[in-house]
Amino acid sequence: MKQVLNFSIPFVVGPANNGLSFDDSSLAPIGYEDLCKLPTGTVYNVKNYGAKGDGIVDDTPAVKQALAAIKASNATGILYFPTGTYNLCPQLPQDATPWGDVVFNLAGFPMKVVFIGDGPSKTILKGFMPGLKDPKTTWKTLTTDGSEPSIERFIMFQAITSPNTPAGGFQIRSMTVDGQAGYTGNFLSGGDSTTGDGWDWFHKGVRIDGSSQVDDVLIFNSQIINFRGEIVYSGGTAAKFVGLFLSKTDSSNASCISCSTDMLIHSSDVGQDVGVYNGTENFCITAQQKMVCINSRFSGKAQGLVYIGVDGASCLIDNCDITNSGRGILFSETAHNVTVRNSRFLNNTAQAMIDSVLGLYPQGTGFSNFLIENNTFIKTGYSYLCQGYGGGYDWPGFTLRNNTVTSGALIGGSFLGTFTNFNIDGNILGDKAISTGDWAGNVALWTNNVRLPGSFIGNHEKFDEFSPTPTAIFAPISDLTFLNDNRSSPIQNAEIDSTKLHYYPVGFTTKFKIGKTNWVLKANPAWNNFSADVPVTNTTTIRFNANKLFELV
Amino acid sequence: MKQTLTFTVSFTVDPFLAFAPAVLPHAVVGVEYPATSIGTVTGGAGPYVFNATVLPNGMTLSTDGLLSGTPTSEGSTDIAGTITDSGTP
Repeated sequence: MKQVLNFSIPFVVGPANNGLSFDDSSLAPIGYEDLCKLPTGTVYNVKNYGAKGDGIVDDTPAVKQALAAIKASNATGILYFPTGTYNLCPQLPQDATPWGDVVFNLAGFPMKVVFIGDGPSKTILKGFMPGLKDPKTTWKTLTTDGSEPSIERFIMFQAITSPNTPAGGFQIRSMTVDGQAGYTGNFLSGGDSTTGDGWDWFHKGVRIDGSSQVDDVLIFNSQIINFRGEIVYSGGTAAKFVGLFLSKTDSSNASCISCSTDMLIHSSDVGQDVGVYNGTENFCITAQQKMVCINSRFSGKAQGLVYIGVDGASCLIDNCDITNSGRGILFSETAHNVTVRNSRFLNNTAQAMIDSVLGLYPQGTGFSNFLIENNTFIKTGYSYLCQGYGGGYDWPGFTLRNNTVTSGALIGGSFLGTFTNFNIDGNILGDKAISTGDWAGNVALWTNNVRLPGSFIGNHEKFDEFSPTPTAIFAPISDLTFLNDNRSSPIQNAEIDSTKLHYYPVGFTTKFKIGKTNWVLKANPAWNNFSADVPVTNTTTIRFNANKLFELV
Repeated sequence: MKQTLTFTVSFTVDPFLAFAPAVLPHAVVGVEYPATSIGTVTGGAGPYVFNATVLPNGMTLSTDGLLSGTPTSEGSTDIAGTITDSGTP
């Protein structure tokens, strides 16, 4: 028997662009229009799927339905959040991952997904855990019955890929993403399990990682705030590119931005002076990646910026403000092809810039090709400090040029390795500025044999020899070299390493001050022209002569 | 005389025709709507033939139940019609 059935299905046709009338692409900085352009794709208005955006109800199920529609379409989708406050929360158990509970899990999205609002002051995506507001609140009080809450904290956007399953990348545009946890200044790694205070690994704004690539991730004209873990984290080489434009991040008990990827930060404020740990850190240790920071501001209780870059990677800091940090920029372990220009360093308590080798990463291959020019350093300690541990490290290519220092020192530290193309030129020492400090490298004092204007007349380079060996190698680096204690008797020979003579400009002179009286400058044609050993007294003076040897004065 | 005849007749009872509509993604004015099945038919005798009587402007429904097209006007409406199976009259 033939059967006939009537059907009727509700169907909605939304307006063009589904109500999205605000194309924020017009805000893109000049020269970055293509990178910041809103992708072409179908607009999915979350309100068409039942989201309220009233800041009261949980909008997660409705928003997830809209996101599922993007996935089903298998094409670029624009998830539009009209003006409003959207409470969002991971849905358990399906949103639980080994890396935390996740609101938007984008690992299974091969297409690009754009999250867009009407502007950071109009559209707010808020973590739906009001108890997190108070850092002193215990987790148990987050539920009315006193039991442990099912969700303690969350990742708002996450893409952790599996082998052979790349993700299409995503954008966060014109909205505020609020993690609902206030900054407390507790950087304890892992956090306090009772109060939730501290650096919380499972409370991040954006997390990218995995074994397959995640295409470009762009944060544009947005705020991401109030997370106790990283605001943006990208591990390994998963992310193809992370961009931060016209955006603000703060309130993290960890570092605001922590990546190992090609990264561009433009016209943004990272840290906002609240005292986050590091403003931005980029670890380019597994690939030749690039870090570029332009027209932006950085601050961090430890460092405003941290950069690690293997040879072939590069770092450009241009027209930025690095303020109110412990150190402005830490070049840790290895860094090459670094340019810092047209930037302002203000009120960084330790140094504006420092290089340091702590042995944290075996990929480290030293430092080279630094250009630091046209910057202003105000109340920021040393503009550049070389940590130069142990025997130091080679420094091919270092230029410190046309910078202005006020209330600080131009350069310091221990340039103990071999350096070539070392240029310190055209710098201006303003009020209360010196070229180098007491604990000074030998290089900064001199340019073409002439002491730099305003350079510090060092008290002494103190040298203590506590070993029982009869010969001590010392390196005079200032006008007065202090040979202090020693344990070898009756004679302690003092020698200069002949392989380091190229450090000294002709005319370099140092007097001696001694602690114990058994120091002797050994006659050694490798570094001096003494006719016999010279017992050191408080009037002994030596000078580097035209024959590139030290002589008695 | 009473006679008795034995007979055998072939007879098929088709299951009742049923339709489970899909939750359709929203369409957008001016944006091509990818071909999407409007639901799943069970029972009766396949194949089934869809015939739409009410559709949004600019959209079509194929006889095998795929909705597609580019809508030209916004609004909420019902997609309505009939489904006919292949059973013999």
